[in-house]
Amino acid sequence: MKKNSIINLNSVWIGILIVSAVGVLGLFHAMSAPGSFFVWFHTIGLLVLLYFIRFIAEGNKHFISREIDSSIVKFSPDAIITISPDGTILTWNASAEKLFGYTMDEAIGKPIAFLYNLDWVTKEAEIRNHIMEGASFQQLETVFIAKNGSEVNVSISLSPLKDSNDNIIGLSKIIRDITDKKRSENEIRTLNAELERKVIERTTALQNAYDEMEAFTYSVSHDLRSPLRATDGFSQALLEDYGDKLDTTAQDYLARIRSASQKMGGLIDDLLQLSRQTRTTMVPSTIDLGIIARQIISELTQQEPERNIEVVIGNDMSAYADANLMRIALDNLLGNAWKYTSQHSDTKIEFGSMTQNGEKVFYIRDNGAGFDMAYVEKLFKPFQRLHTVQEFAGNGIGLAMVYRIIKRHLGRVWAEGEIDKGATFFFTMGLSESTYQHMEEQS
Amino acid sequence: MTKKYILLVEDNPDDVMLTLRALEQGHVINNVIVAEDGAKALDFLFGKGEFEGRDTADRPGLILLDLKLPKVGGFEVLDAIKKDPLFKRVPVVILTSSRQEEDVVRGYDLGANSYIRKPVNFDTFVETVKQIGMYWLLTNEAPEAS
Repeated sequence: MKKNSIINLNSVWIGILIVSAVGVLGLFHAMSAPGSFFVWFHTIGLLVLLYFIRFIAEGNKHFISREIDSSIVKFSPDAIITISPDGTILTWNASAEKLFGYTMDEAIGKPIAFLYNLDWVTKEAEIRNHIMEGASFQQLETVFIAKNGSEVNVSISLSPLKDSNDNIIGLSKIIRDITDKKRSENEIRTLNAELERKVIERTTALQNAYDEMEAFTYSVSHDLRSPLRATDGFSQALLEDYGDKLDTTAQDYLARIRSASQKMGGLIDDLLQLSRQTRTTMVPSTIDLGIIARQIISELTQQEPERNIEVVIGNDMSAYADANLMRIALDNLLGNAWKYTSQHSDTKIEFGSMTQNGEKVFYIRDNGAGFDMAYVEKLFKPFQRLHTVQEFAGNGIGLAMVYRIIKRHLGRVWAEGEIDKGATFFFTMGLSESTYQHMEEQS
Repeated sequence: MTKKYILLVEDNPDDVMLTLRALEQGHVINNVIVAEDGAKALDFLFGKGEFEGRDTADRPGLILLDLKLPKVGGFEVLDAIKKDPLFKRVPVVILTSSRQEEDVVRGYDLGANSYIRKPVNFDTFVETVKQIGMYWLLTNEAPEAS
């Protein structure tokens, strides 16, 4: 390119020189002998002068645009190669040198096929005719082979190479190194595949665990209760049929066996209920917890009509929740308040709501046995009790159930208490119609 | 009335003994036939296998059916009874350990007349069995034998 432009520059100056000489000569003759042969000579000289001026201007224009073209090609980060219709390399820029490792001298004049992989040879043969007819192709991706034998991921744009008269004289190729892009793509693909594999793996593990739990629950409910029934039943049979042969100690032992079997039966039932809680489908709606609470209190009153308890239920008790689950939770919370006030006179149970930091907080307060705040952490754990069975009956499953139910409603539950002063249980309901719908869509 | 008998389908010998004892104590009925698995229950009802030639018109007044049974399970027995034109009106009470929701639903879907979970406490069990027998054999009006 550079060589060509020097030749062009010289010819421009020679042109200017000749034209000036002829022009000056013509002018001189025209002045010395007007109307003669020299006038014609002068006229011709002027015409030649005008032609050359135009020629210089044109030449300059081409010269400038060629210089711009040449620097774009030279400094382009993309490899730019031109080839003849038969595939011989015509030009080879610095980025091509850098990308493929061949110098300009090594490349120019050689057939370009040494860069190609077999697939691309076929592909380019297919599209070359279209290019020679004027079509161009953008960003076709393939792999080229560099001088050191390494594979280079490239994106190629091909277009026809034209001379100044718009005749197609070959092909130009702009080749971009997309090795990094390909590497990132591959990394993303690998990561995605890995992620997908992990998701499948975890889902399977979760499903297995779930199935196992189902099988376990089924087995517990079916098989474990059966021996307990036999233990209790035959102990009773012994007492009934051979009671007269047993002294009171023996009878007491049998009574203890029965009581223990029945207790274990109860524990199994509670465990099953606890596990069922987390598995049942939730059907939330806007409900009035106050109505549920009144039903529970009325049932408790029917069971123990002799209890004289002042019950206060607040007005603003609406919540977006599953009615069945909240019934179980309130059964336990109000049942506890009822139970733990049994040894106090002037008892009061209050179920209300308040707003704390913009959040609706429900509370159930009683003035009963209370508890030591040192053990507050244990309250909501299954089978943890802060009182003996002799003091207050129970198995330590109720508050664990409450905890799970409130958690399922995206809420929090906590408690405050003081021994012999009473206890207050607080809970929030994080679930709203929109969050529930979002959760449903997610699953 | 005296001809009436109960078919008890139960594989666990402890449970068989306790159920018989409970039925006896409840003064419901003394005539109980026990089938230890589902296949035997079906053979008995339809007069097949070891019961070949049995008069199948002699149908039980009540079937007490456990669900977890060897060979042929309780649900299959229930399905076969409720699909049979002659036996479908015989009341079938599922008497089992499980209270799994899916079992209860499936039992009723297959046409069970009642679903009772055996309680651990024997006193309660006696009371339960007594109630079942009283209701289905005495209180409830059965169709005339055809």
